[in-house]
Amino acid sequence: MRPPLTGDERTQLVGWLDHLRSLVRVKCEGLSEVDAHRVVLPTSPLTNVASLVAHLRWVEYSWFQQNLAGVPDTGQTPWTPDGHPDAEMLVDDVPLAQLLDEYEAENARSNAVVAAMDLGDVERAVVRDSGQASVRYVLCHLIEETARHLGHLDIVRELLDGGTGYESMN
Amino acid sequence: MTEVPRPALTAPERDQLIGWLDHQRSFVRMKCTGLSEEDAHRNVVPTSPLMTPAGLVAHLRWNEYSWFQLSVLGVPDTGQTPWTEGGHPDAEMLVDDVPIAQLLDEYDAECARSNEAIANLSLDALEQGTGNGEPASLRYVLCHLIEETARHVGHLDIIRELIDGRTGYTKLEETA
Repeated sequence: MRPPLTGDERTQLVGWLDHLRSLVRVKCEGLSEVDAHRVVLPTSPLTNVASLVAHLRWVEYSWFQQNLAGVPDTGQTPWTPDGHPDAEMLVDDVPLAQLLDEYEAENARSNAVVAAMDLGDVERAVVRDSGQASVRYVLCHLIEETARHLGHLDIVRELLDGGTGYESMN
Repeated sequence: MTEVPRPALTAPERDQLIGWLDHQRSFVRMKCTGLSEEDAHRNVVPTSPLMTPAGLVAHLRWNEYSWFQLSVLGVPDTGQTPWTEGGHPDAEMLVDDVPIAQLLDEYDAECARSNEAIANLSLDALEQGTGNGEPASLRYVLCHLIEETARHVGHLDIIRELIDGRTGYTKLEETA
């Protein structure tokens, strides 16, 4: 559900992000396990439904836990110094249902971080040379990144089984 | 056209919302760089024939018009839009005979008009053109346009890759 038409800034930013997050699960409804991992773009084998969901989950972890909350990576993420840059997307053997549940759990953890900060507060971790991003910057970025990947899911899903829109794909 | 950069890391609310929207808007032209006229009108998603790069650019242009001119400012539709009662619901996407360069220019011009329309409006300002429906605030409209534009850029990502394998942005510039 979209946020209220006249909600304040926090209500809008978190509300639009929550709305988009919920659409990720909707776009996966009725998908077979085989189709969830099926490659439809020969030039980008990691652009499959399961990998996109895993990517969205770890993107949230990266921005909200690592950057905003300042949680150090002591091995709990899929990324390693010389490892695959898209390691989080290597989920051929992970059921889509599990990936969606993990994504949903991550969304709740992200919201908890945001709830405890002001919109003008900045990242606790030092992420880049150019400075610290604010909570509002991070929320805006996650809105557009989640929406962009939803666009990927739209086309990938349609190529898999013709499913479009939001009505149950069954 | 080069990418409009992201807003400043600690920019205030208004600059974030308009900045992220301008950033997304600039990707539209970038994703079409180097496309032949034929490819710009090529359908690669058989179940959705209107989803060509050209159709998407035209849709994005008229989406801006609809939200900022019709809804936010309350400009009445007296025939200047592609939509007619009883007409094709996606009439704005029927652009097989319109050059992609023209569609991109029209999109850029529409985005400039959108920004002009809201330049002196508060983020709490309500839509004037929703008839009897509940009006949204400008803040709501901007958030929605960010996510809708980004979503369609996501469509362009996949459609472009299916057309000629090109991805990202720097590779597109190399072909110019």
